[in-house]
Amino acid sequence: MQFLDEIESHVPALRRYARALARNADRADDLVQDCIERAIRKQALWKPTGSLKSWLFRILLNLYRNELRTARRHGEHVPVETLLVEPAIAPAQPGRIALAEMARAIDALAAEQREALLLVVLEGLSYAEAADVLAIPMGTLMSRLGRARAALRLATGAGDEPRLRTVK
Amino acid sequence: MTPSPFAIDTDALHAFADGQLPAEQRAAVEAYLANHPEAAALVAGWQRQNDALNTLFAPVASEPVPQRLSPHRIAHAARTDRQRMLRNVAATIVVVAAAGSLGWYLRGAFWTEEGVADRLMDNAVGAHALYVREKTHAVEVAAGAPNLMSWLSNRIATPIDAPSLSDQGFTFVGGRLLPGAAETPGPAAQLMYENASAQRVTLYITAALPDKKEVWKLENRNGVEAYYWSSDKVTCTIVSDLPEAEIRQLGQKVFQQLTWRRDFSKTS
Repeated sequence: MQFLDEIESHVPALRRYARALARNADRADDLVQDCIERAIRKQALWKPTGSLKSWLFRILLNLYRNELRTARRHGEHVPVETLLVEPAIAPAQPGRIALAEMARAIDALAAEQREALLLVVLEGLSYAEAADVLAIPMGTLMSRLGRARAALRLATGAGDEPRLRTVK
Repeated sequence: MTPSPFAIDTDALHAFADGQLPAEQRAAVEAYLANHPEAAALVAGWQRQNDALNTLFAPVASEPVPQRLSPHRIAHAARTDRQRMLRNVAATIVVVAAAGSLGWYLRGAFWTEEGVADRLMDNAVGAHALYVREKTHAVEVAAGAPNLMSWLSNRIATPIDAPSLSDQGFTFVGGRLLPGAAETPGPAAQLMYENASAQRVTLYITAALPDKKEVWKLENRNGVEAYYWSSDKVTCTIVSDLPEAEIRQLGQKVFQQLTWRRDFSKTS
């Protein structure tokens, strides 16, 4: 039962990540449920030497990507009313990013950039863990992160900071 | 330029923004940013992005987790599903086996014995009523014709000879081919006999039924006696308006000859 307890401890994070990816509470929880079922079914495939958390996120990501592929094949559209939070206050202070704007910007990111950025920023995974979950080299992770942040900056109009010159 | 113990490149700035640097490297980047406002603004922008993303999505993790996402519950459901499936499979096997045996049993009890016997007796009685009245066309092929019995034997798919009933005063008149029943391997042969007072007896013979069971029946139908039996060799229904005792006697004779003396062919 220890295995189940350990899975249980990761469920809140899995829900959070799934919600940020899928942008729909029910779809996100469906993904998490599938992920848990799969993890339990494939328990034998999990090597206790690896991190259970990374394994769970990998399963979740695969399910999410499969779903995306299916949705694309069927020409499905993600409903717009799934926008999570409309900020109650107008985007007041300069430099602060309007949340609705950010939500839209996140949706507009390339999937691979969104997956990488959310693992690091939202889930607080170390770069090494994130690269492990995504099964990509660290350099690839860093470049996805960089491109994601640049795209967000443009999309949220917070691009008024001066450009970074090559830093030695 | 602040001297740095490691290369402060873009990756280091990302790591700084994401809080992934050890303390002394963090201090080095802070010192660097203090002297590089452009880089500082960039990093500050990233951190605002981080804040916005966390404001948007982090609260999800503190929401109460719905019951359906409990791993214990899911594991339990999976176990129950498996058990239920196994139980269903087992139950299905039992039901199919039981239904099969019951069907087999019923097949013996109702279908062959009652159904087929009844239909064959009906056929025999019907054909008897139809042809015993005929004077000149009572039979299709007269008793004296060559190959009469080999023809009938071939058609009904079982070898038969016309039984001799001369001891009872009956002469073989001849035979004809008639439809059998769905269960009989072929059609039926009707053999007609006649005594001195022009009383007639017909035998309605088919090849044995698939179950080859021995069944006896004597019934009065439509004013005539119908004496049916089936064996592993043939089914035969004797039809006549003779008294029951006489029919039984005839029946014995016919049965003996059809069953045991099939090979003596003297009649045709």
